[in-house]
Amino acid sequence: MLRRRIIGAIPVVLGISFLVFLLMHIAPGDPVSLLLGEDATDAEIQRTRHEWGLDQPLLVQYWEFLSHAVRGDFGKSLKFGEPVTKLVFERLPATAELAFVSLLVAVLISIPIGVYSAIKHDSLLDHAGMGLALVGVSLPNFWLGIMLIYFLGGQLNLLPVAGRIDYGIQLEPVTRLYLVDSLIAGNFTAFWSALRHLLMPAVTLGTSLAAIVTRITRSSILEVMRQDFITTARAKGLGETAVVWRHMLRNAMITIITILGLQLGALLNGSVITETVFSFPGIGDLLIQAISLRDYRLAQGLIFFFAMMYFVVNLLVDLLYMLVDPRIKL
Amino acid sequence: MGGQRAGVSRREFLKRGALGLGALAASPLAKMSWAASKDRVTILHGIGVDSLNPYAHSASPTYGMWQHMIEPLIDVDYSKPDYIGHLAESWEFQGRKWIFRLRKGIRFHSGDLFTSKDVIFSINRIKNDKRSLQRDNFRDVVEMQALDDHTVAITTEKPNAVFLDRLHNRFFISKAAADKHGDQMDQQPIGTGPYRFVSWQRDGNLVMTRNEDYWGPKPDIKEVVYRKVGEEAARVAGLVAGQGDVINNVPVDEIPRLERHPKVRVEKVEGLRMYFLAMNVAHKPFDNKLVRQAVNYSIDPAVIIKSIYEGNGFVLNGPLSSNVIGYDPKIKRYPFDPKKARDLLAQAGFSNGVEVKLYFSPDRYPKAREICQVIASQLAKGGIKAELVSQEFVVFWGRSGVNGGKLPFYYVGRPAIDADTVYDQYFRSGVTQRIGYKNPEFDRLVDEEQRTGDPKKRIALLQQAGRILMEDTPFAPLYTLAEVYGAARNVVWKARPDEKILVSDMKIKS
Repeated sequence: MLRRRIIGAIPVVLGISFLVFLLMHIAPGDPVSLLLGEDATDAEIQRTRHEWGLDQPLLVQYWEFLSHAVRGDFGKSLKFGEPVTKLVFERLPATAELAFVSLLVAVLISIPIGVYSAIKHDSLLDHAGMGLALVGVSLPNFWLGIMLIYFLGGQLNLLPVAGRIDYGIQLEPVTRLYLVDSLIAGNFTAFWSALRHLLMPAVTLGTSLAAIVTRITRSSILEVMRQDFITTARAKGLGETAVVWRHMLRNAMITIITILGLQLGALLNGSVITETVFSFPGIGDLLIQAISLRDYRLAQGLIFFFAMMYFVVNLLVDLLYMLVDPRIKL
Repeated sequence: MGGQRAGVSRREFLKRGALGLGALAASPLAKMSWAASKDRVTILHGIGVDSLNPYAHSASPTYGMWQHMIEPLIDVDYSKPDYIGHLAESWEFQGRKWIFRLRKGIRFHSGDLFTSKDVIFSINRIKNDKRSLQRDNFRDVVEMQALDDHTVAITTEKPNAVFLDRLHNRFFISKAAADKHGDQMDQQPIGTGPYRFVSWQRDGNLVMTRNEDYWGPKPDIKEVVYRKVGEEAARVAGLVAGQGDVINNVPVDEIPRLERHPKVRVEKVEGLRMYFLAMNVAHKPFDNKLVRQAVNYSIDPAVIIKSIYEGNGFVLNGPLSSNVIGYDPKIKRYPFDPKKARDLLAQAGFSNGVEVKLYFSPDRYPKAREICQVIASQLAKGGIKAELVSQEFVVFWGRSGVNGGKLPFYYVGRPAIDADTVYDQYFRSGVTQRIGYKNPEFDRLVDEEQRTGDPKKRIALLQQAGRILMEDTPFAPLYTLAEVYGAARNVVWKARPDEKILVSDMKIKS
């Protein structure tokens, strides 16, 4: 019932748009004085406010925003002077790439550790793994980011401290995902450069996710491994590896996917801080700029996109359930 | 999904991981440069260029980035300080008219000659472009005439002696290129500058290459890369690792580490930003001159500079720093005398002291929070109990803050080359609501100074206005701070006080 889900989303989206609009506008602050800088006189501030329509009543401004937004037009950013949609699409691939690599880092670390900890539960390695997970979930990502920059960037010079790709590398934009575009072009220097720029932000962003997923994997495997069908599998003579990976993990997957789906939202939130720390030009960094300047239109557009992404991710998670467990139907 | 496959892939994964880590370490070491070269200088900068519209910005560091490609008619010689010709050779102030004589034989990157038409075209664009954030500078320009190819007459509503101050950060673009490219003209900025535009990504790199046909001295360095690195810790790490050659806004507590480093150095210069405590006289108790003077007697900026800014600041002796046009060496600041402050408060009817709120914005001015804590403790000794209120800059500076005249007492800084900038914007009545100060005699002096072409007479008027301000004290002067940069040791460069990093001023020591 995909259609029902999508129709059901409409009032949610409307509600979000109104909330976002209201929150941005009732927050004190004034983009015009800030953008015009220190030289601005009162008269110039008034004139610019008028030209940008910021002196209109709030409801008029909301109507203006909504009537354009339904047509996909979020207006022009006050700071950049470009259409909001253009700015968002310029930045979206960077965030998508970062989120994907973070997710990959998190899954690659957490699932093996989680499975191993469950199988060998109460062993030294299990305790070590869980201890590590506790540390991982407790580290604030801005701190972790700065520490990585300091040691891996500054002291050891292993990785670049900021940006998305080395200067001087030309890439034909196809998907604007640098990893993908560089592979399409067969340009391995570009691929390597993009990957090196992604590593620190991805680890920063992926660490707490990895920690959470490790714990969830461990506990769901622990739950599954006591079930009868595992005993049956062993009884029919299946090797231990097959039992673990094919039976236990597959059955534990539902919980893990749910958590991953839910955490993808947290990943997007985290991207706001991580991208700012690493000057990584994604939509998280853009959102911080928009909010700190009260670039209303840009912030509204961005938060709207964030909300839409939550919605899409949740939908995808539901679809994944069907894949993992054929008994589930939407 | 076979179990065996999973086992293999794990081993494979570890093997690849180890290989990858090795390669990771090897690749940067192989190309690690450690020092700037004549081929390229990379600047890691706290802010980036937001758009290629040459006039949609209004901050000094951004002017600096643009100044590589497009140039002003006049620049500032900070050693005097005075204006010097750049694209203009000379100028004259005749009542309501300013006559500029342009240098001859200057060509744009496109090959077109730079003439009066380009000056008029650019000023018109600054005035009329809806995205322009520099319009206000030419608000009083009523007419422009090309007297010949190299002479422009600009007429203002009233005689305007401070026109040069408004002009020195205005850059000139090519009319011919605009005619040719129309809407697309901004995609490929064309100016007369020492560097040509190569590429730009929003919040990424701005790349420029040397203009081999530059009319002035040929720059030493071939290519300039401005890279936006917003996080200061990342800029310092990038400089230390050799990923960048010059960085701006080095936090003062990083200075000793950078000074000890074998490959980098610290470059400091007294900045133009004059910090002060503003007292909005429209609010109580700052409507009372005695209270304002009491604030002045309670403050000891030298302690703030020493304890918070590690000595990297310069106490203001009056309303202006010594490198500002209009400075008066005869003016002395109020001495630090908390007892006198308490006496003045008693005289004003506040024998039990006063309670005020001190507003500041930590995201704009370095160490504002720590500084205001020290200020509050100094004020307390003078009988003024200050509650600190921290505000995000967009709130602090906006309509509900400084520019709406809503803050009675706040910590602020304003850069200036000419006293008029501060006097006009903060203290002359009716221009902004920042201080709410009204003094007809002061207004008269500023009016007259703005009409007076003779620099000596003008300075005398500014000094007279300064003395009135010191007596009325709608503010308490504090200090200027050092602008602190980090640079690779082989970059020979003297920083400008105006936050602009110009690569054309740099040389590379081989």
